[in-house]
Order: sequence, then structure tokens, then C-alpha cells
Amino acid sequence: MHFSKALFVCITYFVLTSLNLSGQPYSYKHLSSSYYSKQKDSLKKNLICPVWFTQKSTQKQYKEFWTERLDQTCLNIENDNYLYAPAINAYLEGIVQQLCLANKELIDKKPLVLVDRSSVANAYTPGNYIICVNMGIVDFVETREELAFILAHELSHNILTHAEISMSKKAEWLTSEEYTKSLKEVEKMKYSKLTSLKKIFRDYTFGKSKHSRYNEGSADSLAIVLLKKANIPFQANWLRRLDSTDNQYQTPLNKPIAAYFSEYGITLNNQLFEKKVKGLSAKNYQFKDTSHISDSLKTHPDCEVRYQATFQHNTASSALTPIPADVKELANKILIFNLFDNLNLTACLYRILQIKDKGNTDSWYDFMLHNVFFGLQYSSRKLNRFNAIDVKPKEFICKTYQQLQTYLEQVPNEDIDQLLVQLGNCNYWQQLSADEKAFKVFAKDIDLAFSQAETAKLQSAAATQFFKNYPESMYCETANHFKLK
Amino acid sequence: MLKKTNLLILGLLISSIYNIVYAQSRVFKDVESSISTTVRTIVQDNHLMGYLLFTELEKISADSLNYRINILDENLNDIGKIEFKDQKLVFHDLAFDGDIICLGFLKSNFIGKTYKRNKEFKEMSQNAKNSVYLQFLNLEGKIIKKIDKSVEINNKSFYNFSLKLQECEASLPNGLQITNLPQKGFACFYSDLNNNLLYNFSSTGEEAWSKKVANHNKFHLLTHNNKYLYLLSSEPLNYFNRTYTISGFNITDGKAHTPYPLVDESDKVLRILNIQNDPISNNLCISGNVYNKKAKFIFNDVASYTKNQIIGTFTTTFKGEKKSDINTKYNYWNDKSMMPLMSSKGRIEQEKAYFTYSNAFVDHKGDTYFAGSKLIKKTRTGLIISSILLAPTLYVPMVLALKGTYKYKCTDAMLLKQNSKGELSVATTIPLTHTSGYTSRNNIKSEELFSRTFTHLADESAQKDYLILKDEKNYVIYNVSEQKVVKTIPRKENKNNYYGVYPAKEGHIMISEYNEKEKTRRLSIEMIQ
Repeated sequence: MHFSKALFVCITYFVLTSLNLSGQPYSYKHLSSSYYSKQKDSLKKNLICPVWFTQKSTQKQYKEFWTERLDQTCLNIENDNYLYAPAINAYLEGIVQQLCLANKELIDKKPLVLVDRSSVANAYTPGNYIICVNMGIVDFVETREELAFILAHELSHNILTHAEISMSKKAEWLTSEEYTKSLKEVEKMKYSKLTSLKKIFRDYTFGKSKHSRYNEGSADSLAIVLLKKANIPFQANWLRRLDSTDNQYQTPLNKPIAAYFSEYGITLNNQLFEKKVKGLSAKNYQFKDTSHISDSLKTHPDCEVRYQATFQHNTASSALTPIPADVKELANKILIFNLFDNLNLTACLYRILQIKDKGNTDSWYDFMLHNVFFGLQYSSRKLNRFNAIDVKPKEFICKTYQQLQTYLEQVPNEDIDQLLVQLGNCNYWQQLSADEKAFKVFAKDIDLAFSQAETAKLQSAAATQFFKNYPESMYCETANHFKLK
Repeated sequence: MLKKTNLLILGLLISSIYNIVYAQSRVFKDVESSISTTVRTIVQDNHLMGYLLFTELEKISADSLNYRINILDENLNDIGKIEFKDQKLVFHDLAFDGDIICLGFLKSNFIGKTYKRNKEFKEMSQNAKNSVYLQFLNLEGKIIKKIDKSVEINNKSFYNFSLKLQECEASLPNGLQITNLPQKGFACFYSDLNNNLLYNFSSTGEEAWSKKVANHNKFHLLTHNNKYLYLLSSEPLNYFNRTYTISGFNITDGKAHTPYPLVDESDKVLRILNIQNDPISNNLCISGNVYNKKAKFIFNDVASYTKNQIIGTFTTTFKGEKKSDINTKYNYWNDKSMMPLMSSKGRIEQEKAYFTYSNAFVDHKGDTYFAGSKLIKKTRTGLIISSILLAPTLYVPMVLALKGTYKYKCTDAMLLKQNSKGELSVATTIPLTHTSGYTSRNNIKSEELFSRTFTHLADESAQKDYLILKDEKNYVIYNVSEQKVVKTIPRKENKNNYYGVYPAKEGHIMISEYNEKEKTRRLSIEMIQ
């Protein structure tokens, strides 16, 4: 039974990947606002807040949190934070199904797996057996087993109802006599009101943090149990690896940035990679220890503690299954396009160059490199280049990232225009799909509209035309930003 | 996607710091209302280095409060914070040199206290202790030196409507002014009831020298070059105008130069438009106008520009200690010496317009530019003829008396250039939104003419000068060096979006976009060109 289901999943996965037309990771209609609209409606209709408390005020507070959480999930779906990427969904669901089948007594509900387009290396669950997996974590993990541990960890949070318990504790506390009394005492105080308020919340969050650490620890423990029952090996070292998820932009590129562009026959002005900075950013400030990112700022805090708590459960050395290259590729493409569409351009371009460092010659990345400069051109016209570049402080990035953000900050508008022309004439366009070629034309129309009257109307017309010609293209998402509502 | 918080919208920043939830609760509102933040730019040698937020958090006792200082770099990235306790501090000024920030406060055990009865006020006033308080802060977040200088100031009070109590207040007559001395530390000036004091501190807060300065009505601590420090003092000339004196001091030992009154050779008072360091020599440079001897110049009255209230321009450069080191270039038009460029009334003949001298600056080549608007004046011929013909009736002459015999219109901006030889010429005109039609002297609206601003930005690295011009409808960014408009940014777009343009780090401007409908603000630091 296990085997046939697993085989079905594998076949589905391979069929779906082979049917992936135009090399795009997904179709526009697979964005969550369209694809998951029924699930969203179903969530709103069928998910009813359970009655946990007899006290009306506490139950009311609990329901507020519960509704807020549900609304947030629905909003994320509406805002296209998620999408349906057939190959990736199939791969993730395959793992989840394997875990569920092996742990029927613990998992009584079929989880809904959502692919989150975020580049942050994380997975999360809002509860109700909804598991959200960021493309950042799919890019980060090395093996199927490592990914299985991540998914098992999130499943464990659901089995142990951590989200519900957390909300109920918060509701209880906020409606407790102790909290009300504390606030009244603060109100009567003449001095140190803020300090007292902070203490009240610190005591609560400290308690909450302890529970949170406990929650993470217990989720790790149960995840190991789920894995063992599903015959999936476990390596505690994965937890240590999670400690490095925030170092994405501290990993230098293999060659100077200009070298990547010379492959297109483009010479960049090297002076633009450095600048004499007269601001505090160039000073050796040290208000805090910046030799490493403090635990409170990490995506995954307490990694070493979690490692120490779990290493004795390591499965004796066994063969691990690398993540299929296709899945990795798709995850990268999804997160790169998401960075571009959100105008997070330095990060987007840096990831493209990192892909090139791995020897990837897929012309889609050349296409996206062109799009980064389209985004930069557009942002400059809208006087928003600063936010599109998102200048990061030097302690969080490596030298090559710093050089890239300096270049993007300083490159004159005329140079960007020229770059786009040069990139637009490169040979790689011949390998791209019709909608990708049309997107280049769309980008030009967007820019041309700035020099004419009724810019917004012209841009909207260009977007409408793109939609009309390529209604399923994933690039419709970018075109959609220009459509007048 | 918004990436930067708005440092000017304090509620967002503060609430994100303290994670205050459920603001509808009274206690949260109380706490939030007691938090106040002042934002200042951190400037070194006229370069914007970053931003500093000084926040008064809460009272922790009768005489003590909690404070927080946040420091942001020039890209609005938060680089550090310091928290400390102290008495009531009124934040005045700051300067930055090397790796040290010098902050200046008025410290008091009197200010901010409330009372109900006059007897309490008298008692508090008698026990009041006020001081000038300087903090020297390094970039590791440590306060390396604190200096307290006792001051005598007037203790006053005002009625606080929200507290429904009388509240004590006091202030320094000239505030507390600090400037950096490149690689040498800081200069600091303040006045109290007894003295006007100028100090020189090293970067580590050691006092190098101090000087008592002769009394004047107002003081401004000016810029400096590497050798001298300058203080500008002033006295009222009449209800509208002031006279100025420059006092120079050697930075090394505080030796005072002979005070230099800003008057021309026939003792006509000079009107200051700009004070800066000459970009080439780094010497102090002051530019402006020459008042007519009986002038009652009102900056937002068109007659001040068309009736010889001002009669010339000047640029004075301070090259050294002695009077002979001070050079001034004058241009007078009232003596007809500027013809054919300008009439004796100051009308620029080639443009057929008067000029509202609003600002001045010295560019990187050492030329002085005067920036302002073209003001066209026309006679109300029809009304005058009507008044003669209808003289027996009172109506038309009354209208004439109210509206005046002239009508005015404000058109484009203009730059006049005074070169190194002192020759004045029209450099260029810059298209701006014209005032709608001609109007009388009293009716020319402030927001059309006199709220126009002309802000100079120097990009030292690129050796270029820019002007940010603001008129009724737009911000126009003008490249003075290349004589072209580089950007035009509407002040209002699509009904709901309002824009503001401000100086930022070198070669950049800060653009603030406020959406009235969504009540959101976005800040962006863009290249000026």
C-alpha cells in the first residue's frame, strides 16, 4: 500500500515536471488567490472556533486571536504569498503523506501543504494542519530526509496543538485578574509606568519564550518519533546547519561582479562598485557585538541547544537522498521571481549570480537579470530606487554584496537604459519562450510611458495587452501591478 | 513593498520598539503620550552623516527620567542605541567629529514640574538648578564624558491645558549651539542672564579654552575653517530688520579677532542671505543684500524689492584675523552703476522683472549665486485713468487706494551670478509655476511667492551644485553646474499623495511620500541626478 502510493506520487511528480511548458516554474493561475480560493472559502466557512473556555471574556479573547490567525492565513492566500507549483507540491506532499501514513494514530487529519514563495529559509504552521514551506528552506536543505525533518517538526506543532495552546494561554493571561490588576496598578503609578508595563509583558513573554523553547524542543522530539516510524533517518547536525540560514548574503561570489556582465559583452564602470562614503555606515561603530548575528535576530534561534538535545537520536549512518535538482531549480526560480516582483532587487540579483557560480547556464536567469534592471529603471523613475535596493548595513553582508548594492545605488539612469538595450540584444533571448520575449516588450512600453502624458493609462493598457496575449504566464503577476483598478 | 520605517512618524517607531499592544487601553495611552522624540541630523563639516533620535521615555522619580538615543546611519539603518537616566533634559543641539557625537542639553530640576499654587512656584524657582549639559558619546555606545555648566536663566511658567496645571519652563536666550572643529573637537556657545560663553572642547571632552563674549541681542555659532571659528551676533535695527557683527576666534587658543560689523563703507546695514565655507579656500563667506539706509525691508512684501528697500548685493570673505584679510565685493544699482543690466530701482532690464533675493550660495568654482523669483510689476493704467475721470465720485479713488497703482505677477526663478571679479550678471532662469494672473501688492499670496524655497545642495565629490526649488505645485531639482532641470517632483499627485523633498547624504535627496488616504509615509533616498 505504501509502495503503490509512493510510486503514484513519484509518477505524478515526473509527469508534472515534464509538462512544465515554457520553462516557467508555475502558471499565473497557480497563484494562491486563484488556485486556493476554494480552500480559502472552505477555511472561512468550516473552521469554527472551538469553545475552550467557560469564562465569556476569555473565550471572546481566544476567538479574537483565532479569527485573527484565520484571517491572516486567508489574507496570505489572497495576497498570493502562496502558489501551487505542481512539482514542488507533489514532492512535499509525498513526504508529508509518508509521515502521515506511518503515524496514523497521531495524525488524524490530512494536512494542507502550502508553498510559500518567501526566500527566508523557514517553514511554519498557523495550526489546523496547514503547513507552509518557504522556498528558501527548500533551497537551503540538502537532502529529502532533512526536509522531512522540517515537515515533521511542523506536523508535530499541529499534533501537540501548540498554536492553539499558545493562543489560549495568551487569552487567559490577558483576561486574567492578575493582568487587569497589574494594569490598574500601573495606572495609579506616578512614575516608571513604561518600565512597569515592559516588566509585565516581559514576564509574560519570558514565560512564553520558555514555553516557546519548550515548544520547539517538544516538536523536535516528536518529529524524530514521526521520522523513525516512517523509516526516515535523522541527523541532529541539520539543526546546526539551520544556524547558518541567515548567512545567505555573507557568502561571497566566486568572481568580481563585472565578470558576470562581461559574459554578455557588457563592460561595467568599476568605479561604481566603490564609493567614498561620508556617512556613519562607513564608520567602525560597535554598539553591539556584530561578529555574529545575535540569537534573538536569527530565523532559527537556539540551534546549538536543540542539537545537544537531539544528537543522541541520530540514526546510524545511512544513505540520504539528495533533493532532486529539478525541485531545487524550481524553488530557486520561484523565490528569485518573488524577490523581483516585490522589488527586492539587490537580493534578487545576488541570488542570480550565486546560481551562475554553480555553473547553471539556464537562460531563464539571464532573463531575470534583465528584469532586475527593468525593476531598477522603473524604481528610479518612481523615485523609489532606495527602497528597491534595500541597503543593508555592512555587518550583515559580505564585501561582494556590498559592492553590488553600491553599484545599484550609484549606477546612473542613462547607464541602466543602456544596459537594458545591451541585455535586450543578447543571444539568450532566442532560447526563451514567447511570453518571456513579450515581457521584454512590456518592460520597454512601461518605461516609454513615463515620457508621455497619461503614463498610468498607457502602462495599464500595456499590462492589459500582456494579459490578453498570455493569460497563463507567471509574468502576468508583474503586469498586474500596472493595471488600473 | 515598504522597507524603511518612517523616522518622522514617531508612533510607529516607538510602538515597534516597545511592542505596545491594545493601545485603546487608557494606561497604554498614558504611557504613549508621555513619550516624546526629537529627530536631528548628524552633520560633520556640512556633510550629513546620519540621524539621531532622542526620546524621553518616562519619569522614574520626581527628578529623574529615562531616556533613549537611537542612531541611524545615512541610509536610515539603525546602528545602535543607548539608554540612560538623568534629570529633565531639553535637547538642543549636536555635532559630530571623528567618532564622537557631542550632544548638548539644558538640564534642569525645574523645567516640566507642575504646580497649583504660586507659593509652590516661588519655592521651586528659588531651588531651581539649571545647567548646560554636554555628553560626549563614542560609536561603541559609551558616554565617555559629561560636562555640567551651571546657568542663570529666567524661570517662568505656562498653563498646560492637557494636565490642567501650571507647568514650569525656562530656556537659554540663544539656545545651546554646537559645531564640530575638524579633527579638533567641538565649539559650543550659549548665553545665560550673566554671560555669553564660547567654549572649545577636544573630542574627548577636555576643555581647551573658553571666552566670554560681549553682550548682544542674538547669537549664532557659525561655521569655521580649520583655523578660525566665527560667531554672528545681531541687534534689532528696526521692527523688521537686524544689524549683524561677526566675531572671529582662533581655534587653537581662542584669541579673539576684532569684531567686524556687517555694514558697507557708508555704514549701510547688510542683509544676510547665506553663510557658508567657500568650497575652494574653506574661508567663511557671507552673501546678501545692502539695505537702503532708511530701509524697512519686509521679506514678503513686493514693495521691498521694487522700491529700493535693498540697493545692492555683497559677498564678504574672511581670509584671516585682520580687517585687511576681510574682502567684500559689492554691486550697487541705486547709483545707476549697474546699467544696462539693472535699473536704478533694481529692475533687471533684459528680463523686464524685479528680483526677490531669497537665497545665495557659493559654488565649487567660487562664484556667488543669488537665487530668487522674477517679479513683474505693471501699472494699473486703466484704474488710474478711471480715477482721474471719475474723481468726483469717491468709489474709484477708494478702490485705487486699496489696490494700489501697480499690479504684480511672479514668474520663473532666476539666478544672478557674481563672479570672482565681483561682476554681477543673469546666470539663468528656471521655469517654475507662475502666480495666476496679476494681483495687487497685498493680495499676492504667500504660498505662491514667498513660500517658494531655494535650497542649495553641494555634491563635493562630483564637484557639482544643485538647487532644490519649491513652488506652489512642484519641487524642481536644478543642476546649477550644467544649467539644467534634472527632476521635477509634484508636491501632490493623484489626490492622495503628498511629496516632500529634503537634503540627504551627499549627492542625494530624501523624498517623503505621504498617502493621505492610507495614512502611510514612505521615505526614499534617491540620487539627486
